Amino acid sequence: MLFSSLEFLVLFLPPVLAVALRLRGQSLLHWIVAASVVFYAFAGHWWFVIPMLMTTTIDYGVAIAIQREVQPRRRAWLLGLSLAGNLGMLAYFKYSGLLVRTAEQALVLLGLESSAAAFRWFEVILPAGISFYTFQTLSYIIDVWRGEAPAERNFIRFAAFVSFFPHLVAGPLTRHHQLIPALARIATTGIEPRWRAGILLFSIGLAKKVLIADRLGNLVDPLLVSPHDLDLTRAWLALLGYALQIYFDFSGYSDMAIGLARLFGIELPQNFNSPYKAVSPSDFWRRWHMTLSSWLRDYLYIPLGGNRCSAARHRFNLMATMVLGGLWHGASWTFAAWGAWHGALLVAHHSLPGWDRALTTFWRRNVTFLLVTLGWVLFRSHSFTQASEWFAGLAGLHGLAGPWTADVAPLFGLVAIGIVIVRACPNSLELPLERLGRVPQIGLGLTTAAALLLMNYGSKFLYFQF
Amino acid sequence: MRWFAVTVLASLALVITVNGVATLDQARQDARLRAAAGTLRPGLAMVFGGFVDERRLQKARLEVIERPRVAVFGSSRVREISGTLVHVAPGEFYNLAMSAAVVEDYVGLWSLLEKRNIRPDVAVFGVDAWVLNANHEQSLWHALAPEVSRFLGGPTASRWTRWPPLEGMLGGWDQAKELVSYTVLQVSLRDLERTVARGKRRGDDLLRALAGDLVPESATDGQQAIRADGSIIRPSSSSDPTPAQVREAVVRHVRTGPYGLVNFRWNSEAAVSLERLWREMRARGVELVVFTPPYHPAAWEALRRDPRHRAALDSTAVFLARLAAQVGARFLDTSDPAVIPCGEAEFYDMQHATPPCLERLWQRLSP
Repeated sequence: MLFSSLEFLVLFLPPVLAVALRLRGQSLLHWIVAASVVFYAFAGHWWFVIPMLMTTTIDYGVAIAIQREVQPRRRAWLLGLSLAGNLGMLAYFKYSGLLVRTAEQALVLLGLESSAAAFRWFEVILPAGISFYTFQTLSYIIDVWRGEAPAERNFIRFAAFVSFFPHLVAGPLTRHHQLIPALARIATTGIEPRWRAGILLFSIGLAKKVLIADRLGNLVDPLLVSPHDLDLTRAWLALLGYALQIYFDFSGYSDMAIGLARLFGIELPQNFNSPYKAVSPSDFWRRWHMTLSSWLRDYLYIPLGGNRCSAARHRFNLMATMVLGGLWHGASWTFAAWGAWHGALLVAHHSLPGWDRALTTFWRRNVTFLLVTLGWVLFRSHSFTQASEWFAGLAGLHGLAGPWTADVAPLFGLVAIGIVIVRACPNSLELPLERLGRVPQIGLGLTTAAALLLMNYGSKFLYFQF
Repeated sequence: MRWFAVTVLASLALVITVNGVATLDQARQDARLRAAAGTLRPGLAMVFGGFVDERRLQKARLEVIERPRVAVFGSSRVREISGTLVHVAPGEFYNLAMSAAVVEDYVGLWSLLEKRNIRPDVAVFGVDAWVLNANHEQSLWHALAPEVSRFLGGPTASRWTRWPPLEGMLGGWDQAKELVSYTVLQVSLRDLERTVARGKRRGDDLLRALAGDLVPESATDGQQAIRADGSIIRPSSSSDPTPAQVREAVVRHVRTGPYGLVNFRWNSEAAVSLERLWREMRARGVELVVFTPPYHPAAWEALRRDPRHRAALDSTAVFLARLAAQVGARFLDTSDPAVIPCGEAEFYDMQHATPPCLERLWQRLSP
């Protein structure tokens, strides 16, 4: 079930919210878990619920066992058990295909085609959002093991933390200290919805997704079917279009998730802070997918040694964190390459302090935007062949400009509008939604109505696949 | 917040009113058309001149025909395939092809067949390369927008076919959703504009023809006509062009820009929809046979010489072959007339083959 569907907005959300507003205590949490399970069962296949419930049950029990255990060695074993369970499940569902494809290609290279053919039956369906809730429970278990968080004793509250439907399939990646206390609070006091801030933010997210991201996708996708035909103009238009599409798609989803949580009286963490206004690669990662960035920082980069080590080790830590962060997005070596590209940008930025001081903020923003945008080629391409063809188009190797066909003008217009929005407009969480005047309200009302009309042909959210 | 809520609700109310009025008007007109379409029985043909809204006619006919055993989907390039031509008993064959048909047309027609539970045992698809060209103007299918929307936009009900009451409820929900669909709004506005501005409603021409221009199939007297099995009879006269004249026109046409292939750009959305449709049809037990309709030999030669057109035809054939293999359909690439074989004298123009050529094509498709 998509947020941008009439099924969600008419059949699911109103009854779920109406009942939730009348409940308190354990029954409210039971209701939230039940609604979230139903929501998740309609997110793809009903069996998606099974691995999620397994993760929830195992980590609930392991966390309590870790807290009870005093012997460090046994605590470490218990942590290992949880990590093996969580990462094993993620590896099976998400990365087994990549490993099998890689093994198959290696066998073909060795001239063992017949052995390679044996792998071709292997296909695993990736449950939507598994990367999100796995990382969420991992951070909880690690914090309990570190002694930085108490184990949650209330199973239903813990289940609600994992499955709370606004953030379940595509984030924001919410930590236990951001959600479990809030769930405990609403169970005690009942839900105090922030109607205005919630509905208006949801509407902004819906408009971003349906009116901009989906329209851009409709224009960009056909261009990328044959990247070898991309002339300079089209290659750059496709790249800018995709850079904007993924931003509006994912930040739109995050806005909707945060807006929905507000209707339940819960504040989810901010996920985007105008990332295309970033003035350096480091600044970009403080603004883009902020909940993942901070997760990678706290549970990967700092445990590896962070920047409190030799310069060479620091560079390695940056590269390792970004490559693994890239692979988190998808089981393909192009995602790893995208991570490596960002790792290289971060290493360069840290190795050459002061390079950017020679530039004004305007130019630092533009250079950062250009470097980040070039990385999207690797992110969007299904193979290195496709990426190299696209890069060749960007370099003008497939010609400078083809005929001005009917699809170019709308893409050009949408890209221009998108760039103005991401560079000149405030971030949606900075808008004074509680005090929005009459004219902005009417404007937002019209765009919301347009989005509701157009969403009948809505596409999936890009980040569902991660 | 009040202004926001009022704006959203007022906008949606306006759209629902426009779509609701258009739907009611359309329902009344459809009822008249259905009644008239029932008069076109086997052995009769509907003579028509000029433009006839084929989509409205097919929609009306699909409300009254018996379940066909064999159905043909495609464009005007396969519309002359009749039950008699391919030796299928009357009532067992139906030609669903329509001029300039695209994937949405296939989807809309399948949706109608499904709705009446008259799925054919065998569906034969003559797929033109233009259906996968994103730069090819495709708007006629909007006459079937609600049916297309039902399949592509809201297949909620289709998931619950084993639970008839629930399927019925969800089917109602799918229809209700159309009231807030932009696609349906576009069609509704066009209908209302036509009604208000010209005082003529969609399907009026068709109603007139069905009311007064039904003749025996053998008595069309060289005029263009539609048979009861959906196939057409082409108009003929003594001034029809000679094969040499056709060849000359064909070469000129390919040089200036062959229909549907200009600026060929892959339409991934249409490809996905086609895959979804065929998977659904196969899941419902329909046997699929897919082919690419033949070109005039001179057109084929000229198209193969141009790298852009060659790439368009090749990518279409490769895609169709792969998809057919995936869904378990039979596929034959007969764009090259030599495969059938058909000669130059067996074409009316660049891409419309005559019945003898189509008959041999049908024989090639038989397992």
